[in-house]
Amino acid sequence: MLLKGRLRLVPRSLVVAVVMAALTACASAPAVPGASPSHAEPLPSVNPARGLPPGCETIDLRSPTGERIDLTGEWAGSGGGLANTFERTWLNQIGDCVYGSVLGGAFVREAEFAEFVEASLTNLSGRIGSDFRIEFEVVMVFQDTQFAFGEYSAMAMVIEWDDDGRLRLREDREPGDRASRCVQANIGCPSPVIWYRVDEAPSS
Amino acid sequence: MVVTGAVTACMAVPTASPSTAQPSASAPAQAGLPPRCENIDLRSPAGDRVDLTGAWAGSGILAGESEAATWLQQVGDCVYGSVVGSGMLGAPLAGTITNLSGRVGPDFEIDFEVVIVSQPQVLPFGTYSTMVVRIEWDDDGRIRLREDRDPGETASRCPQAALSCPAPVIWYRVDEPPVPS
Repeated sequence: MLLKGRLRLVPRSLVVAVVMAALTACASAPAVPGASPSHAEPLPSVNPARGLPPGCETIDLRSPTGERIDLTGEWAGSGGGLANTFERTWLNQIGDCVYGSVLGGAFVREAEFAEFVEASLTNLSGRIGSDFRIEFEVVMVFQDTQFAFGEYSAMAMVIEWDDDGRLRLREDREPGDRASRCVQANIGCPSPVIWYRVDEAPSS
Repeated sequence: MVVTGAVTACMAVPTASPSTAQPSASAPAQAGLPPRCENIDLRSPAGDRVDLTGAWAGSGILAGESEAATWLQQVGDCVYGSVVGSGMLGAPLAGTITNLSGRVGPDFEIDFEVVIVSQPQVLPFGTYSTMVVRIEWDDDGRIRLREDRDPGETASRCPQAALSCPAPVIWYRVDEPPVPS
């Protein structure tokens, strides 16, 4: 019931897509989310000669269509931003670890009016779980002006697919909910962050 | 003569142990310290609290041929950073972004994890490596960060040092410390 209540604001088709992703992942051995590390293949972003960073493990997450998930690439958002309205995010997935940078404002001059927005630079680091969740540590390493939230915070994101089957990352927070990174949710960050990939996904 | 942090720590202003350290000026009051991070109280030869938060620039190659700047954020003894290649400014697809994260110890050493999150072309080294950086002061008393590696020496981030990264990274602060001590 609690789950149903939390999903009330989510489009039914999206719920179906997420459920389908989980079911697809469970249907056959290599499609199981969070497959045993001993059975997982190295991800494209891993340098085999150097192995994984400390604390990271291999993981084999699959999309509803069975493609390996690799979040490495460029992302841009809709709805609420992390740094500000004009931002771009670059992610690098190494095993189950995900590192990222969010550039905002004057750093992203290709965006209209971006040069008039305060520049900011935010680091992300986190790990993906077999439940398709990423627990990010969010560290603002540069900002033109003081935001309403601290330099360090946490953010949970969910890997999911929208109605069109497009992969996206959504902050696991209801609109207006306070979160670690949103001391004043209605002022600084009313909407959850949603990112879509804006480059070609690495071949799996 | 270069006055190193290690000398300072042993002779002039010993580094406080974590249990007795004063709260770092950079520790956020609302969110507290990130997991795994602790307070630390490092002091310069002049007795000023060391806070690495701010913009840095210098010599050596980390992100690409021409680095625009490195921004660091020190939270307790944890140091996070982004190195943005100059191509990134004004042309997001033409530059390199490198993330740094590490912890600074009482020996004034920072063990950084170096992760390239965006690169316009495939570099000859992997997207993950490590780098040891020392906090030190030059002859003019300016704080600087120097990669603990001899010129030409191979390191985790430099499998082919002579080709891709012959000189160690040296960064100087290019802004005013955000929290005067």
